[in-house]
Amino acid sequence: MSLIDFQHVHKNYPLGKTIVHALQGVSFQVQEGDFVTISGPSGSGKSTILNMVGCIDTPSAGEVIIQDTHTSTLSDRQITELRHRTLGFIFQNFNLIPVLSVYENIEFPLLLGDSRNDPFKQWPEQEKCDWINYLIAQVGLEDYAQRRPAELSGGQRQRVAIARALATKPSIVLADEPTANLDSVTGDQIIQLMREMNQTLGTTFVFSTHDPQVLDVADHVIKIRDGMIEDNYRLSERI
Amino acid sequence: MTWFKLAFRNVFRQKKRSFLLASAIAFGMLSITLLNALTGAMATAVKTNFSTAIGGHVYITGEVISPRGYSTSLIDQTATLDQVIRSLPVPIMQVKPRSNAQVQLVNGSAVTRTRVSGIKLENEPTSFTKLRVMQGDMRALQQPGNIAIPLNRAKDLNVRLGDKVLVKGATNTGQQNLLEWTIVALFADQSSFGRSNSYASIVTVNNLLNIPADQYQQVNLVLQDLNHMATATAELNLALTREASIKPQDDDGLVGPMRRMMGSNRTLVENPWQGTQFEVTNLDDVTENVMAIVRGLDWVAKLIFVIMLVITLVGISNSYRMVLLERVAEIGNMRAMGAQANNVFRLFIYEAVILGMIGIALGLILALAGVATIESLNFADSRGPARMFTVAGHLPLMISMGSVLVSSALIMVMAMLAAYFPARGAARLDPAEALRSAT
Ligand SMILES: Nc1ncnc2c1ncn2[C@@H]1O[C@H](COP(=O)(O)OP(=O)(O)OP(=O)(O)O)[C@@H](O)[C@H]1O
Ligand SMILES: [Mg+2]
Repeated sequence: MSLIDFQHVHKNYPLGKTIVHALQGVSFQVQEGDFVTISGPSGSGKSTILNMVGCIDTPSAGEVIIQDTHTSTLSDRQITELRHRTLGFIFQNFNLIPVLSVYENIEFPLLLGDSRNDPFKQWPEQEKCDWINYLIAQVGLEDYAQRRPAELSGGQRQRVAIARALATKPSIVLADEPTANLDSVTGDQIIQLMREMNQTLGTTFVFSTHDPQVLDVADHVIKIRDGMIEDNYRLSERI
Repeated sequence: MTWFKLAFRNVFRQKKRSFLLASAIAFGMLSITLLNALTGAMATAVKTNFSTAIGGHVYITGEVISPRGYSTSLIDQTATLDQVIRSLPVPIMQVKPRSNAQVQLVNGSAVTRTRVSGIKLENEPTSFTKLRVMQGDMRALQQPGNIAIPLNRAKDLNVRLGDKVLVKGATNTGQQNLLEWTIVALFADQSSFGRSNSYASIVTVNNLLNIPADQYQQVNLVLQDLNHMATATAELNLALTREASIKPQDDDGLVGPMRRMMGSNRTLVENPWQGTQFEVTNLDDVTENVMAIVRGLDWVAKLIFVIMLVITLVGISNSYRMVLLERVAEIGNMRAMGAQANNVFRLFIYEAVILGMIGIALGLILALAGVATIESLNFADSRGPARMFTVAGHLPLMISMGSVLVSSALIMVMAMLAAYFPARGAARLDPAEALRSAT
């Protein structure tokens, strides 16, 4: 059983009178606990794939299966709940909520559920607090917990985003070019941090990048060109 | 709770814009509250001034047929009326029997016209408390043959306190009568609507009118509660129809009672009757015309308010559209993290509600300040119809809880309505599109 299963996924975008074939029959599987890189040139379809793993976009044809759930069978509400429970997001431009402090930003996903069986509602307050503080410590922002995002550097903001993506203890964290807005040293640190979190928490990370160097840290590399898979390999096969 | 906190912080995110929007709402709240207070004050002042001028809230007049076949202003079934008034089901503060006469006061070649109200002083001890007595003592009116007149009339007549004046008037049946009365008090002129009023005891006036000392032309009732006015009037009409007779409601409407109150006492009738024909009117009847004007003003004020509300609504709605554009990425991000569409919708509505509450509170504070300022203005020296709308020189402004609640609710609904479409737009944003447009 794979954590993520893409089966012959196509995605077409209407663009004026023409149609852009962003994905043309993409199939791959991702195993639990892997640190996965999706690489490829600009416009190759990296973001499109990540959006589909993240269930914020739907395929034109083919199947996207997350944790054995066929996402095409879910209602909009159920999809949102699936995102809330099993997925975490990190964005290129951080997307932190400007009016919330670092602590509140990380806590925010835990407060989002509005259904009765929301797993985070049953979480004891103290445990929740300890967990958030643990994440803040893990991303090295103990001294910044009460700051607003505007008072942080780009690297610090992306650290907050990583902690926030992990707050709900998701199975998968998706990161679309998380280092694109950072200098290379900071970018490397961010990749390193994601790798550490992947190893300590066992969370599966899927992230896209332009940077060929990053491929060295990954367990699993998926290379895309023109909406098709060019290469797909795991560096260290697990048993 | 999370969403409310977020909404609250979002409101303070763009301080200048939020302040402008809240100010627009505050201005609406301020103007409607002030306008309501103003029209309310006008209504109160009109009622107060009329009831002071006439001296009561419910007025019972009567007509009897004179030996010559004239209808004259008189109540001769006083025992019956006493009985009817005593059995009224509403609390009565004062029963004021009165007789009125239009007279000329003469001193040598100086002449002045005035209405003389004949008053039973023991029945209405408070009637002169608002009168500014300059010289003499109103209590001396209890002696027959004494009169109290406005100071300026005394100057016109060239008489002083203690002097005697000639009083020229007609009896109730129309004969000329000439008496000599003593001036025992002078007071600051209170002339309402350009008519001057003088006072004497009812016995004194009855003597001039040549009617028995224990009868009178009119009884004014002062009620404990103005809300009882209609009930009291209806009950009186019922009881007097049963116990005596009521003037048919066909002919002259208010003209008859008003004419009698002003002391013009006699008309020829074609179909005479026996005993007293009663007629009951009240403050509402008398002020009906002026109140219609006040109500008209009130409607105009409300119309302006609604127009202003709509303009503000459009303005706020447009601002929210801009807010929405600024926050597209943020909304996409929230949706990606697992916020449901209705959470996003509610976030925008909450922001509008918070803005509305701030605006309403601000407007109310300004309105209170405005009311205090207007109340401190003194119009005592102003002439003309403006005086009708002031009590003792001041506008009796009152902010009523009820109208504040109604206008707050209206403004709140408007603020939410303004946010409704932008909020729905935000909720319907496709997360993928929203996130893409931000990069
Ligand atoms: N909403 C859309 N409407 C039209 N075309 C789109 C849309 N989204 C993506 N595309 C097109 O689909 C193709 C793949 O886009 P995608 O954003 O997945 O590329 P990418 O690999 O993420 O590129 P980059 O490295 O520049 O982020 C591109 O040609 C893009 O122009
Ligand atoms: Mg991309």
